[in-house]
Amino acid sequence: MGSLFVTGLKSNSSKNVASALTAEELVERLDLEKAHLNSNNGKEVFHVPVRTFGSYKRSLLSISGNGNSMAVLLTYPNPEDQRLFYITDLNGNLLKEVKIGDDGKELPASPTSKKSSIAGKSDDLCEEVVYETCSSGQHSFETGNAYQCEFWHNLQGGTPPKLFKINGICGGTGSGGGGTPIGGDGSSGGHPAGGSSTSPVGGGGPPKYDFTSADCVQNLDCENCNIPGDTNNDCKLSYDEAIAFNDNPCAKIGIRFNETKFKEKIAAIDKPEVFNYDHEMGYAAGYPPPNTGITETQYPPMENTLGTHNVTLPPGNQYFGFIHTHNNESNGGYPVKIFSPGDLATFLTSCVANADAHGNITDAYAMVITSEGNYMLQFTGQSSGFGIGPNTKKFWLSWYEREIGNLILENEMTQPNIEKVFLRFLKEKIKIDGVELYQVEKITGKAKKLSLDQNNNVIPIPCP
Amino acid sequence: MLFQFLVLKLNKKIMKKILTILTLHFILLSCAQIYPLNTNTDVPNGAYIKDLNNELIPYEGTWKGTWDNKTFFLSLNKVKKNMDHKDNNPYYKDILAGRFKVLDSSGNILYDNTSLPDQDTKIEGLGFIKNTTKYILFYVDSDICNISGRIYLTFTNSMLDWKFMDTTDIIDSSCQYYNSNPFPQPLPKSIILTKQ
Repeated sequence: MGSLFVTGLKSNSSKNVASALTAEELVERLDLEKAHLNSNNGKEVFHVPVRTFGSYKRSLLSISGNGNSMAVLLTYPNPEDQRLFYITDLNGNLLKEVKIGDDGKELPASPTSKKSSIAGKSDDLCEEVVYETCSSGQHSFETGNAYQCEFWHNLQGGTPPKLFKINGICGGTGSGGGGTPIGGDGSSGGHPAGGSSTSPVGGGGPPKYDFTSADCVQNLDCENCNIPGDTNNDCKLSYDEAIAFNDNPCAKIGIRFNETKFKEKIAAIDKPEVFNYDHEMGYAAGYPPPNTGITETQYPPMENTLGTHNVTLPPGNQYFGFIHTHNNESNGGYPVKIFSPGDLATFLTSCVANADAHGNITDAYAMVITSEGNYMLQFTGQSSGFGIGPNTKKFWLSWYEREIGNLILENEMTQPNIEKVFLRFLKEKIKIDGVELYQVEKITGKAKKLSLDQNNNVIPIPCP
Repeated sequence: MLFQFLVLKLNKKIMKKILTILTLHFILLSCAQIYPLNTNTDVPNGAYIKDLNNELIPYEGTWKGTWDNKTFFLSLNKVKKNMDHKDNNPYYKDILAGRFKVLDSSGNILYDNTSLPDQDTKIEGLGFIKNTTKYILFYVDSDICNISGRIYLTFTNSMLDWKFMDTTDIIDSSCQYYNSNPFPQPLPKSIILTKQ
């Protein structure tokens, strides 16, 4: 049974998300007596309720076949209302809000999906169509007899057959797509070929007697259902919450630090020995390539340019982020342990532009890892047409070098002073709305937004 | 007659006033505030950070060294640089402007920017590190995808100890040298230069 959702379920010391549990640990939190297992069209579909401490209903839906597998969580804020639910991956990332119409089919995207996901934006990305039978288990849109369901004659009796899509994770590996979107693509009519059949499941029973609320896993079975962006903990995303979530870099940073792969890449280079190399190291973050069955964010290494200390962003327009080191190597000089103008230019001209074109513009990020602290750039602006050319970069460099130079000349290369110069650089020279600097704690990923007050003092604002 | 005399007298007075105002104005304009070369803090608009003690003079001239079977020529000269990088706060500073030429072992020119104007050199001086004789310059090469770095010069026994620290960081596919192997590196990392 565990093989249905093994991928992404690695043992992890911090088990605050479902993906950190082993398959055995996860199974303990499921109500297996109410599970449905369906094998059809070369696919195995496993749908089982989660035992939760809350009043919401949550189920684990696992689909495997053709050498691939994936698992998502469906969360129903109101267990009696089958028409509103949220799809999250096992890392806790929100993939989609689904609203089912009176006809049993997924409604077009709600206003909360104004900033749509990569999956919602890219028609060529794969998607899984899910056909859920009505409560009798006899009728579904897949078999064409959905409207013979008793439900349509007695709306209070049982649950309706449903048809919805899970964007970006069909044939995937189980940890969900690369984006953090809300809302669907709205194109849910018709009877697409293929797809997966499942039956509805009821609510899971209470957690087993040997579990207490202190043992709960944040995105799985705690009292609050912990839908990302649900600030008032009512297990629903209002329009305002959804918009705020999409524009909230703190939430984005938190989600990244819930991703196992992201944390692995940081751990690989956030080391004293790496800081002492004579060249930088890093990883680019790319959207999954379309039509490959790959659904997770890709992290190819940023290769070192031979004989230099530089790294290169891999070719292609799928890269919405990068993580890299600024080392201690100085050749008798003074390394600057924060973003350089070149980093910022790459962030804006590549990451933000690629995120805008292929995903969600707010997906874009850049991260620098140094012995003096880690920093992230996030973008909350609306467009990516910055008009940054070679001359612009040259003028940026002149500003930056002259101002950093003043710190070096005065022997004032402290990290707070470097942060201030970089923030002044953003404010006085770059002047692009939406570029935000965050200081990110090593290991925990706790972030603080850094900005300047009117007197150019650095103001840290901790993320909630 | 009397009328003409009065007009002349009056004109003389007016002319004198105008001349006084113009002179004062000229004096004020020509007296932009001057600061010593070790000023690394904000200065008023139009200020001049000047090499009052001729500290930059010993560095001026052409310097030569060999590195990696290449010959490196560095030309340094003192320039009153228009520091216009900050909006609404232009000022002037005496700096060392740097130009260089690199020849391969056969004498072929690999890089040569010795004809660039004073205000647009690829190497621009920043100043002396406080209480040291170490002079810092920065390098931005718009011909090679704006690669950049900082140069640390120490003047000892008529020689220049040159250290270069690359600060380029990231190269993306918009750079014409993206796939070059090796990537162009015009400047030596460490070299001792002698004056020509």
